[in-house]
Amino acid sequence: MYMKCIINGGIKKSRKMNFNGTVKELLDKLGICDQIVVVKRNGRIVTEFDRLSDSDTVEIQQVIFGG
Amino acid sequence: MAKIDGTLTSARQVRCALCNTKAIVYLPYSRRALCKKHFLHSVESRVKRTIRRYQMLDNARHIAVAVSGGKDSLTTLYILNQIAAPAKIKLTAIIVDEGIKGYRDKMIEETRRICEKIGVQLNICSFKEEIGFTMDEIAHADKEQREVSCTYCGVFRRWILNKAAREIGADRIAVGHNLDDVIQSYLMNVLRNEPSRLARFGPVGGIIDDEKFVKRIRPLFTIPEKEIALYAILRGLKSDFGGCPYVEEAFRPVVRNFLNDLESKYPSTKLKLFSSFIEMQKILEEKYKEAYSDINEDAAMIKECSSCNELSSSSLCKRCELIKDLKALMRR
Repeated sequence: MYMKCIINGGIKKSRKMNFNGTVKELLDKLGICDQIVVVKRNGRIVTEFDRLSDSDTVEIQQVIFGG
Repeated sequence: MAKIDGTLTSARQVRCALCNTKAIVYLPYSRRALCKKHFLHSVESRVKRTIRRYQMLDNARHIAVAVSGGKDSLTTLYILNQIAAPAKIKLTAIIVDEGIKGYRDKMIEETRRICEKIGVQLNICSFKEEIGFTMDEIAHADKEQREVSCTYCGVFRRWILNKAAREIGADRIAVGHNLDDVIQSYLMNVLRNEPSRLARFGPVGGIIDDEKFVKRIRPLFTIPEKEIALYAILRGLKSDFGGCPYVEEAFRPVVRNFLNDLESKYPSTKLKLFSSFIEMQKILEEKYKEAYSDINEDAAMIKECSSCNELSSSSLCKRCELIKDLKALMRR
């Protein structure tokens, strides 16, 4: 089983990955700053301390761009 | 069960510190996680507290809300609308169309939708009409010869907003500056060694008391940018986010990224910097008060721009000076 991860920062990217850990750990792994994104797990907004697992669909939406 | 600063969490789901339902945000400075309902209430309470604390709406009759279609200004508009109606204060949204194809036109449509939904009148002004150039035209002028795009945009927007607000009889202009904007400006002013500018950057802006200047208020002054983004999503004000195509030329994004990285590694850094700013601002305001009172008392120091008749500290205001340079540049 793989976690589906959608990264939406202007251009939408989707990938499947093996991951077990918190939202914050996932963002660190992907090199994304937690200050500029909102994360949804299976369609619901979660905190950076919520845990993720392989069966989840995770959407990372960039909400801070500047300008 | 694990503990995050007093908030009980399961292995899978963080819970709201107030009602134990699923949390959607963790606020490091208050060391608690909140659910949607309590988070929305928390943001609105803090904004209302800021408005009361800095007497932003005392004797206000008509607020012009400077909207861009972004999360900050739409949140400002939405929360002010909750306050204005019961207080019998008139509210008008003003949007400035800088002429950035594929960016601002989309945001104008989003703003129109929100204004219709909450029943607020929307006035649209444009760079083309008020300045003579669109931002697309300015940005395509020779980069070596002109200022960075944000300089033109900032000066022109401020000039247009002040004039448009005054023309509809507004006695306040509400802008969407948030806590991140404040600390970025703080750090930028320190790095540029411009302390006098910091003295002017408070929750209620404007150094000169003159009927031509409409007082600026910043109701989101104490709310971090990410919380505003979350608020805008949860209230249905915003779903698509994007950046201005010309922003990369500026210094601010560098400072913003630096502060975001710091906050990520050392939570509550932003709030500590904000508290530092509040203390420093009081000291600087006191230090520069004399200089500003001289400006207010000595009417001769406040001039009318020889070109546009708006108030200016020199014979030609910054807006007209930039237009003059642009015209010369475009002729080449």
